[in-house]
Amino acid sequence: MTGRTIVITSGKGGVGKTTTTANIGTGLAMRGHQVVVIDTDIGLRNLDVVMGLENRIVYDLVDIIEGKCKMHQGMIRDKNKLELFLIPAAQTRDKNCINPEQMKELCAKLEREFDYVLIDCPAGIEQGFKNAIAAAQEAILVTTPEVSAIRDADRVIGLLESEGLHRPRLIINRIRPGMVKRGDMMDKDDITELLAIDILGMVPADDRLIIATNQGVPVIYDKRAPSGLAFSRIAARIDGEDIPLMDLGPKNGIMDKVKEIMGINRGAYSNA
Amino acid sequence: MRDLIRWVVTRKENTKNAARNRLQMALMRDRMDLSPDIINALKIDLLAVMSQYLVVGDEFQEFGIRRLDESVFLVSNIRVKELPRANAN
Ligand SMILES: Nc1ncnc2c1ncn2[C@@H]1O[C@H](COP(=O)(O)OP(=O)(O)OP(=O)(O)O)[C@@H](O)[C@H]1O
Ligand SMILES: [Mg+2]
Repeated sequence: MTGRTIVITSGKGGVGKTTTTANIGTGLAMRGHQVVVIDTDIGLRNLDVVMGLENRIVYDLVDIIEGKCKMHQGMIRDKNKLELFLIPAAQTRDKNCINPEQMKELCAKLEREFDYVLIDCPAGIEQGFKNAIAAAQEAILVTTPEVSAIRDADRVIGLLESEGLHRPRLIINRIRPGMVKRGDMMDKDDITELLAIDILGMVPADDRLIIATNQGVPVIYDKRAPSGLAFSRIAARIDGEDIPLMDLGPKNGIMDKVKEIMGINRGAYSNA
Repeated sequence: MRDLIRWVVTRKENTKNAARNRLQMALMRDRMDLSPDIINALKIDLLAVMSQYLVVGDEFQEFGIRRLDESVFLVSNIRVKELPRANAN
């Protein structure tokens, strides 16, 4: 088996990398693939709680790399999906205790056993970022529809490029379709055009995601959550399925109808 | 009525456009900081191309990315030591 190693990165913090990693990882496992997700945010681990596996941690990424445990001992099997494993970050160490070479070595081993190796990257562009991207053959960039997040994404695209990671694909997270409709939030066309990058998907801001995260269950299991649906579709696209971007916004008010009929409902669409 | 709705719609598009324009300017500004490697490679390639047509100096007098209003320019100056004879194409 030769799996694909994909890093999920962003530049700016808090835009949804960890949430995305947990959900895409679960989504790919639901599609029957063997998946391992790695938290590389050493010192600030989070992926374990988002996946609800925080009580099962014995060893971590640094233990594996330093040979304190076998690779398999450091992997936690998911509660729901037999095909899904987590390698948690070390909490009491810092980012300099591993290096890019060690990440490459580890991921090369994992690729022999897994279809997908997903790497949750820390915020920023320092050592942690370098470690996270070193082993990846593909990159997914997460942003929100805000000036600062997109600007940081642009910087990261340049850095990925210089590390040989060409054509990263973009996920726009926390879109609020209502605001896009009202012209108060940038839409996918604005963002993809300015970044000159392909879009992988769009995820709406979703209260159900917060509720799911509170419970330590990836929102992709919630069939009624718009964000969960968006993540399933993103997982399918990563897996090579060619599915169109989805209409995000509910066609809400009567004014939208009126505008639509009169042909001036400009920029009023949004897709996932 | 139609104008009224249009007025309402365009007026409300403002903050998205403000964000878009600010982002565009910020990206332009950020991307102007080309890495020294790229600048050097570009200089070397440009010198090679120019030497096919002219005899030029070994160094640019001026070389940089500059912004003027909303556009970005590559501004460069180089001494031409020898010009080809007219009609000598
Ligand atoms: N689509 C969404 N709708 C609502 N809340 C969201 C959405 N995506 C992410 N969040 C929330 O935003 C917060 C940040 O998300 P997350 O931890 O995934 O970001 P991150 O990029 O990994 O952050 P960091 O840079 O700190 O690692 C979390 O509380 C998460 O629940
Ligand atoms: Mg995170």
